[in-house]
Amino acid sequence: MAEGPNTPGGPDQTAIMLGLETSCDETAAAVVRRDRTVLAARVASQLAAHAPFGGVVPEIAARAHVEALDHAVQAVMAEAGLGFADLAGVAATTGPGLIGGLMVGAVTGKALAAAHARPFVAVNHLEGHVLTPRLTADVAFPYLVLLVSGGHTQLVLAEGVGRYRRLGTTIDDAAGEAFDKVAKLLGLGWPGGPALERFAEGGDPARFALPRPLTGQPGCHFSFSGLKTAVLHALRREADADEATRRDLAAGFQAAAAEALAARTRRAVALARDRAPGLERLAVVGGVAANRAVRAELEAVAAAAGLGFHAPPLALCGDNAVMIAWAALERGGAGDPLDAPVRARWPLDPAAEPAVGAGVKA
Amino acid sequence: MRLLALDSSGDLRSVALDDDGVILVERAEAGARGHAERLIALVDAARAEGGWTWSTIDRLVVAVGPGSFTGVRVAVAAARALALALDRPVHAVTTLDALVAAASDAEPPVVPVIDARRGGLYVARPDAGEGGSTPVATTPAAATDGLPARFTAVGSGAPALIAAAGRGEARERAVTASGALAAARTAIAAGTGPMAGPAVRPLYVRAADAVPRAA
Repeated sequence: MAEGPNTPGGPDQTAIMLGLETSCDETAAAVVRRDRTVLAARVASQLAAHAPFGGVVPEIAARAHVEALDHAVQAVMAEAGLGFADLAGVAATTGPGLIGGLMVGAVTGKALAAAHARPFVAVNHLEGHVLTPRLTADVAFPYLVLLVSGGHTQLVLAEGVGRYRRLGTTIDDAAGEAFDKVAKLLGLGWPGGPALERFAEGGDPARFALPRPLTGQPGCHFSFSGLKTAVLHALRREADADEATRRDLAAGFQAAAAEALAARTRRAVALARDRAPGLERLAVVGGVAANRAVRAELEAVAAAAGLGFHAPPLALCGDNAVMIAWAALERGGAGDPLDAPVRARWPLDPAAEPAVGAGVKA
Repeated sequence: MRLLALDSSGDLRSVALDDDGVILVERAEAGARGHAERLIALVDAARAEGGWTWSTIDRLVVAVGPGSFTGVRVAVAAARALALALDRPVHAVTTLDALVAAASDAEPPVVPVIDARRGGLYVARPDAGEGGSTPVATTPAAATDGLPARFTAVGSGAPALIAAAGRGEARERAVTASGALAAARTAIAAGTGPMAGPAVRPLYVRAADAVPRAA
């Protein structure tokens, strides 16, 4: 068991945290105990509300969060059999993400905390993802994390609670965003990641020569925009592409994306070892970690490098509130002021140089 | 009965405490950008200033709009969360009713009007047959339909309405928590009960700006 920060006797294993997550299109609440027990968790997806628009509409997301969040809180508290007075604190994602939803989560968390004189903990969404392997597998610092989702693609060396070194990030699209866009090109609807994976089954990944962006280039940044465009051009060349052709393209794209993620991760392992010679583990988190091709490539990277591999269960890979409660518990119960800021942009590693074109994904 | 009211529907955020019809404390801050950061801290400070514990509060009052989408959402999220945390009901009032209730100093008839941005105004359209009204978004020109010969326009949209009508008196003022309290008191006197937190919904009036894509 890792020791908590600033607590000589180790963290209080009975401390219970309520977590809230509203940074994108999932309204989530969870109750987690410091001994790694998830007492209750709910995720209300807004997929149906956004599907007609082919993507997440920020104002629609914010409107849905305010209608759903208190229901989710009530449900998890009831399921855990707890009152607010039983909590060690209330944690909410306060960035990075879509500002309208972040505001709903922050205000709700602050109100619940204030009304019961509990600490309010402002949690960075990325930190929630990065610390999840410590909840699910008690992974010790330091470890390397590939965070790969619809909003983010980052390689982070986790050296301790609050100490993260961003080794790489995407300079354009997030990997999950590329999956969604390619799925749309192939007529698979939105969101397209899981649909694309199913569609690619049986496809020939070698039929189309697609680029592996940035492979062999210095550094650990990612790029997926060119790969997406290559799929578009290939599709145009194949006028009236039949289903087999489109399946081959899906398989080719998936293989290229997985290999690109693996190639950059391989580089990051070397960089991470320079800083942290005791590195023992590679973890992959985020919604794209559910993709089996991606997972297989990364497992191979870990095995070749002599690293242990960990991917949290699916429910804790995508956006969720368990990771927010857990990150707050890891911080040892220190609260933030009631007027803590809400931040659309909030880099996990403030020392990392901004990547050109990365936007909020940096 | 002790009521705690809050509003952040416009550039101002404010909190007011009402003890049996007497306003004990009113606190307000300017700056629409700080609502999500500051509103709960402001509520807590006002509560402490009034010498109340959280359980002193019998009911909450919130102005649900129309106004800034973000602002009304912050106020409604705060009211719903406090309702859940304290197990107390909520009186939801419109921002237009809050403006009228706070305008006892203005020469009647009072016409509440809020700047809706993009050249529009939020006004109260009288319901057919009944005495009530429904907030709508409209143009300044259309908002002048049916205005009496003399009136006092109250709210952030007052100057635009007066300009379009070519008559009337303008009182350009913000929606406040004390106005929301006064509107709630009027509603309570008329027999309107409070509602459970989850029943309190933002009154956006306008749809979200998004166009469905063809399949």
